[in-house]
Amino acid sequence: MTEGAHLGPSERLHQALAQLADVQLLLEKERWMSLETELQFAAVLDAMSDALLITDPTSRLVRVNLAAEHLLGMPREQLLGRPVAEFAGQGVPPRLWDLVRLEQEGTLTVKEASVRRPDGTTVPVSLAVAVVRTPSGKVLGSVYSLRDLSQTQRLLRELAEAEARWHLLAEVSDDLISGLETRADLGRVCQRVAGVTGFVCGIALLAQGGVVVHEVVVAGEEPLRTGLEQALATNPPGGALRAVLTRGASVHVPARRSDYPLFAEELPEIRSVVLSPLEARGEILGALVFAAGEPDRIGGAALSLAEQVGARIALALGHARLHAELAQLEAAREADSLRHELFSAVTHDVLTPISAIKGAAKVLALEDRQVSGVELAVLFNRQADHLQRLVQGILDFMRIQEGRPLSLQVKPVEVRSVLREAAILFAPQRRIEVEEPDGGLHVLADAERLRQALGNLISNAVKYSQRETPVWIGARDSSGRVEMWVRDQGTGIAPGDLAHLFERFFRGSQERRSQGTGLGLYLTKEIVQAMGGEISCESKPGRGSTFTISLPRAEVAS
Amino acid sequence: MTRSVLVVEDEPDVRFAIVTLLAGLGWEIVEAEDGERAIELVRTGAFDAIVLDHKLPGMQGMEVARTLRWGGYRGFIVIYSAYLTPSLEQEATELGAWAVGKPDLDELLDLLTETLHSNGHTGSSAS
Repeated sequence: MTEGAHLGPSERLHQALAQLADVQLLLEKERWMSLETELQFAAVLDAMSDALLITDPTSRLVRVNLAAEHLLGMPREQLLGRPVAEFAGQGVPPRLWDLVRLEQEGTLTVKEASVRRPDGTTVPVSLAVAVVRTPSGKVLGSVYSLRDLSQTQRLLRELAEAEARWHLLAEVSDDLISGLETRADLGRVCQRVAGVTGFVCGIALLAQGGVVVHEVVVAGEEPLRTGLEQALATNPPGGALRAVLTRGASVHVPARRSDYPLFAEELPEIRSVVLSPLEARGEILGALVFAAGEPDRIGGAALSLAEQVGARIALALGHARLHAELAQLEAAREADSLRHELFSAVTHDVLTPISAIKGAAKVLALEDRQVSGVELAVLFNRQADHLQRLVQGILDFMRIQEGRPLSLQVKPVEVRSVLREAAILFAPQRRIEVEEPDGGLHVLADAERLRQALGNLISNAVKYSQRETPVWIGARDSSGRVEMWVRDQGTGIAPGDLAHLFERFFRGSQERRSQGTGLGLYLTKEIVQAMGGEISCESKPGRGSTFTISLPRAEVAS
Repeated sequence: MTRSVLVVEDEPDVRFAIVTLLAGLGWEIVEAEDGERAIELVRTGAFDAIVLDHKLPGMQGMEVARTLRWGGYRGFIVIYSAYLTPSLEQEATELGAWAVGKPDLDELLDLLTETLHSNGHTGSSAS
């Protein structure tokens, strides 16, 4: 506490005392005193809030006011005639000559001191004293003015606490204003509270929409911190924590008996505690706990602090959960729109093979058809395969979206025969040039998936290159792996598109208008990766593209 | 007089079916697998009708139709596509063309038969 806070009024008091002394002097000197003025004088003295002790030259009390009676705890009839020394505590000069000496030294100033009451208690005071003299200098006595500081000190302490609390709340609000996203945010709040209050501060959060504590953060001094952390993490069947979490009202136990049930695992070390619910939008999200090892440490102010800090945390938690819910909704909406886009693309894509099949069926029914049944059967089969690939694509896509792995049967597959089959399959559409590897080269893959991946790449190459140009496919042994490629002399891929080529629903800026789900290369990449392989693309616009699949080589005894 | 029809379709099996069926009606059929080739063919030959797929590699069917109309082609045009939308249908109408959704092959054949047998259209070249 600073002395400066009391100097102003005390200096004024000095002046008042001097005037008072003059009045006393006048009374003494002229012996002029009517009953009326005496009564007025007594009323003035009693109205003063400071205690006044007026002494004779022997430092015995000759006059006191009402405040002095209260301060010293004794009626004035008993006080009068007693020496000041009887009440002088620390810093109170008890005898008149002490005052005179101090006056001569120039150190008779306002200071903090204490007085002793007859019941043995001491009271802190702000003290001002003056020696009362006649104009000629004869010492008549002294005046002590005492201001009770016990109340001031208490008020100041409370003020300081309130200020600290206010700062704490402001800081907690600052911590939380940027949102409450992580455990670390909660930890920071606990640490701040623990740092300012000296309590152990803990937060127990319930699982979303549940009644089970699933997250605990505690800060403060050991070993109470660890103890509280463990106690909060153990879901209580009863006790104060459960009551707070279910009923949403604070529990305050300023001085706890060790058998008062708080948690599932009791912590007898906690002697003073407050538990406050964290409630947002009518839902109890958890509890805030202040705990201390000494009884009466956590009083009414701590209870209100807990409720105020708790309200801020709950608000931030509520916001964070709202944001999380919104993000989930947003993700669901996006997934929905992706699904919609996929289904819309696929339903259109399905119409093309259907129109081929329906057309071929009409051709089959022609009376004088020039085409053989076998040729038409091949067509039906090809278009049925096309439909199957479309459906398989959706199934694979949904599988990947749901996080389920693609079903694979990985075993050694002979590369040359896979390339030859692909060339035959696409022969009706385009000239396929095969750059064949040795007959013994095997790759570790799912044969059907490998055909699917290669087929997707060849089908793209056919789609994006001129009819007159061939498509090259091939494979080679490359240090423990097998590289298989599909190359065309087509339109190529814009450099800006290369990075996004294998993303789902991506369609190149030049090909945006052509048909397709935008899933082909995405699924091809997923298939290749699921088999432990990699896929890459090199392309020059106007010159063509080369897609390369790299897979582990399989060693097969020939 | 033998009618001649140009079929523009990039999917070989679909093109095969259309071409075979139209040829079965006694018409002379010419095929193209993309729009650029179609425009070239129209420039050098006279067609009573053109069957146009919309989603083609390179130029799209509707662009081909527009180019042909601006170039003076006044014959019968039908867009035959799996990707018809109301705005595409409207664009077709504005170009004086028809639109039929895949796989409605019967409607396509009926439309062509009706049109080419009623002498409503006569082929003309752009040049």
